[in-house]
Amino acid sequence: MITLNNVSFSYADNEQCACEQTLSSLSFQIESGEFLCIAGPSGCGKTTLLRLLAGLHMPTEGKILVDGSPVCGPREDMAIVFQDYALFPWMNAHKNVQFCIRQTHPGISASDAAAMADRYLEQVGMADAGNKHPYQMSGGMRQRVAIARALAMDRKILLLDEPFGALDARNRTDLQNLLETLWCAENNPAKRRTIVFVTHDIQEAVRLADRIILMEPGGIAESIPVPLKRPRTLEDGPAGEQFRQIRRSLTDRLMELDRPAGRACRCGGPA
Amino acid sequence: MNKKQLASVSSFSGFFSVFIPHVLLAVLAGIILFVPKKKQLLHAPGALLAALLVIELLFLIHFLMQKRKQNRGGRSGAQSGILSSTDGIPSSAALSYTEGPRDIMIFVWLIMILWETCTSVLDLAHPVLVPAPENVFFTFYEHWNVMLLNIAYSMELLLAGMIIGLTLAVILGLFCGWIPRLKAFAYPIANVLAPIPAVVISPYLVSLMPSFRSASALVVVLGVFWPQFLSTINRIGSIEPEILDSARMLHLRTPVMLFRILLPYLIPGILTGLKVTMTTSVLMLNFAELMGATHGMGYYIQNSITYANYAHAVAGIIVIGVVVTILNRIVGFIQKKLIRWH
Repeated sequence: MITLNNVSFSYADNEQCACEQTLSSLSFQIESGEFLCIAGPSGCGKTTLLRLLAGLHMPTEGKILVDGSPVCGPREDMAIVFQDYALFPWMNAHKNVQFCIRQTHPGISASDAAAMADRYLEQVGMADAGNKHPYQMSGGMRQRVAIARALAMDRKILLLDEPFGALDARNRTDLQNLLETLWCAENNPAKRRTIVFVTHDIQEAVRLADRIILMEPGGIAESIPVPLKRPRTLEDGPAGEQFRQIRRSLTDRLMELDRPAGRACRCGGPA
Repeated sequence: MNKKQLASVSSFSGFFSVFIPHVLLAVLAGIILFVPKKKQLLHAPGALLAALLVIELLFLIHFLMQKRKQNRGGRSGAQSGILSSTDGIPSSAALSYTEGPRDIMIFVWLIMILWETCTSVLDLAHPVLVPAPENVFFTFYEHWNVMLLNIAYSMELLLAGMIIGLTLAVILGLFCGWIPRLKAFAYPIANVLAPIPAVVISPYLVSLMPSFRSASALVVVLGVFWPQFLSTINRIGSIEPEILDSARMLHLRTPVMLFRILLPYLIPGILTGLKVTMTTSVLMLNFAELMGATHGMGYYIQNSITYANYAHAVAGIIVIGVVVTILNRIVGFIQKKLIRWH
């Protein structure tokens, strides 16, 4: 369980913005095994919040606790997938996954790591592309490898920062299905990974999340549960009607929020 | 335009691209062999003719390889070239692969004709300072063993200096770039020391070091080390944040971070810098060799100038040009093989 206690953050080195906090006094909890989406307009601090959870930034005030212990630096029980893939460009797909396995499973033999890497690449549908380097792959393929890499790290918390934001519609749908399938593969909901998924796409949030935290600039606007059955088929039947209803109310709520772009001072850093 | 016409166009232009340089070559050979010479003390033209033959062969090999590449590269390239030229828009696609080498050859033969005419045939240039091509190329025949020895001697120093300088720069740069405390210590010091040109202090180094060889190696090491050391630190400072973040999430130990992440990340930059570095080190080395060496290419030229033997000096200059070109080709080849991912 992840607990945020009055967490505030500002990019202190950014002089123009010293006056203003990127995030102020956030408090909420993320249950173990929950699929949480953080949605909201761009520039409202979604990515900053995720980086705080990952320990890549430190909160200026307040505390983040994971199972009771405070986050003070990147933790050994989290993996992260970035929007821009962040694969190591000098390694091919297989080496990228294998390298992560060997670093996160100390003592594993090279052949075991290779076999494991094969398995994870197969899970994301990249079994044939193991010897390709990132520069030879499309965005969708790279993100599949990045997901395989994050899964291979075998961490109980998975953070995703707009992972499908740069992909075309077809790839995005495929990867959404893939992510849900992989996450649901563990039948016992209590044993599933905790997933925190940042997106600006309401449709995507409703498609994937157990719960959506809708952010407004500087803080949380609302926390909305999504009580749809899994695996989700969204377009038809009564579930489809329910889906559209949730999406509509969320979109309306989003339109009411202040647009951060209109404000005098927008904090830098990754949006 | 149908295929037949296309083919005839390309063979026509192909004929011309070889035709003009060869007319010039024939004129040059004719002047060398049959025109009476005014200049005294000319060596036999055999070495010069052999050199022309070698240049011609290199040109033909290069030309044929480019032509094959063009034919393999596909009809589409040629077709788009023709289309864009009818639009009146010059484009790089319109430039045939063979035009570059042809223009270069025309330039080379014209220079040679001018040189031969001004010196040997009409004796217009300064009789001592501007040697005749016959005499310059005769040097290669006369001195090939001395020259090879000097090249080997220079290369040994150059390689030793570069390997030591580069290895030190990259390893120390890795540590200083990654560990903040070391960086805070070493970076300001390096910024003060790096701009001191090693060439200027090389006479001092020559008297300071126990032997001349170690002094010239040190000059090369210094010339390579400082720029590579500083740029290694700078490159680590500007590493892509995504790569750094995903490495941080993996909890890598410092040695793994340095040698599995940062080092491979740096290699393309190091190799790109290597071409410039190598030209600089050849410069450094040759300069150091002017200082009082007893071997080496720089020494050879210096020695020839001391004895007013300008034919030997010019031959030495040509050799340095050829050697640096070959070294650059080797670096380019390594670059291609090692960093395809970049």
